[in-house]
Amino acid sequence: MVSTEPSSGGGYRPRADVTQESAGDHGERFRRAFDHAVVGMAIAEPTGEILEANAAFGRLVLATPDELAGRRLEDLIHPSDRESVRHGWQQIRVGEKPSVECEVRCLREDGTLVWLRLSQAALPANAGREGYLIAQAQDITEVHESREASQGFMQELERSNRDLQEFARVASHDLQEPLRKIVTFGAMLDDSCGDTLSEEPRLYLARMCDAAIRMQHLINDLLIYSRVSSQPAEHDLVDLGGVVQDLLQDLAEDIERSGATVELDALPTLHADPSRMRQLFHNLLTNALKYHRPDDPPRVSIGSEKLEGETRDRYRIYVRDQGIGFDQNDADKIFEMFGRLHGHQTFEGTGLGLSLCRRIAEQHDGTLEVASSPGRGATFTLTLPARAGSDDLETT
Amino acid sequence: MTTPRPVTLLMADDDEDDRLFARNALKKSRLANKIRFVEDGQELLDYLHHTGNYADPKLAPRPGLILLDLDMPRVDGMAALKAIKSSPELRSIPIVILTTSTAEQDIVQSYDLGVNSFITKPVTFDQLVAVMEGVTQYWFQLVELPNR
Repeated sequence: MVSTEPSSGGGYRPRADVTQESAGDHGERFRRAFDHAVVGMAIAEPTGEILEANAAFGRLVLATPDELAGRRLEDLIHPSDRESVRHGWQQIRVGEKPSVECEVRCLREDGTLVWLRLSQAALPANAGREGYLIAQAQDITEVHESREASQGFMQELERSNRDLQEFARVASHDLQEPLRKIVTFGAMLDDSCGDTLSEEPRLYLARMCDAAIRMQHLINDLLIYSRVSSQPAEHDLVDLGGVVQDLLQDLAEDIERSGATVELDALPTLHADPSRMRQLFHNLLTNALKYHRPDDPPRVSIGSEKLEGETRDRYRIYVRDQGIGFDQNDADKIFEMFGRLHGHQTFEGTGLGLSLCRRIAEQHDGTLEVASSPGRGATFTLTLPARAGSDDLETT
Repeated sequence: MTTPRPVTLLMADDDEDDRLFARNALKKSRLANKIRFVEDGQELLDYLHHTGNYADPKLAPRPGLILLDLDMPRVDGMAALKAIKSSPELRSIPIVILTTSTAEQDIVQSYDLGVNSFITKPVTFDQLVAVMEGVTQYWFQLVELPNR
């Protein structure tokens, strides 16, 4: 609509009154910008009655610029959103703000809705009359839909996280209860008549109790895993050397029984979740002490080195054993949940310990790798940032 | 140290199996103490206050120690604990919570209400025997309790 003639609104001469305030090229440039803008634009009386709209505005609301002239701007807006448009314009009229933006729904001719980002501003007043309202509108329906979709997704995620925690709670209590009873009844049965049973039924009873105890361990490990995955991490300064020394004291009986030797070099103090670090090193140590030949006592060494980095330093910490080792091709498998290279008759365990270790390392922006070959022991290498910022500690 | 006396234990637990386990564990520990059972918090309060089915005090001798489960119908363990510890008559009776719960909030709340010990039900029978031995020896042989 390039015409300089009065539009159907009557009395309004865009060139003279609005767009050619300073005469000449300036007005013409505005006119061209208005007509060919990608953004929908409309100029209206202070009362909201549209004087002129550009083609882009027409496309937004499915009407021609001619059809829009004379209609009230707010009539194009969904009734529930009209108040925010009126309020915005009021703020401009009283000089509170030079322009106001809002997100509103537009009710189109065909009954469909589009979301608009609508900006309102006043054109300069002149000759004693109030300035016109200039409105600019963009279709943001897609933005809105994807925002809604991602909000829905977030809610769904929160719900499923809650479900998971509820599952963990049920598992901790309701699944453990019957097991505890199987184990206890088994022990009572053995107590009251184990002596009178012949070898075979005694073996069955012992196997049944072993299986139930194994399942208790499995449920406990699953619970620890789910807790580490779902609960927020804490962070504090952790003296890893102290952590490992404490753990070695806890494991003193096992170490003595197996005749193991443990060599502990200096370990760093760094920012981490204290209880998770303890869990991680507990699992690495018990792992290193476990996989050895019966006639060859475990030899374990633990140490660290500092890696100077460009942005920040990291520590490489190793836990090395001289045990039975494994084929390097199986390295990924041992970090999988329930991944095991041996039957539980040979080496006890649930197959969750090392996957938990890797999970904890990753939560601290670190890595856990292993190098091994059959018969030559295994070296677990943990890399942790010297100072993980709180942002680096995953909280979910 | 006082001379060991065969004081009565009173266990409140709605789980029949757990009552059986406790009876057997006490038997296996060769302790001379008698153990009596109630099946929920309401029955426990009736027993202690000599009300309801326990109106006759002879039916309900004052226990030297209460083993209390938390998750019970009618009146749960926490409510029963609160009632007992706010009664001037009853609050000197030691209460040991014996529950499957390991929830931090249960532990904190129990001690806030004045429980004497909080023990998570052991997962093996041998451990349960050790708990029964430990608890009875501690409360009936090692510590002094008011005579009433």
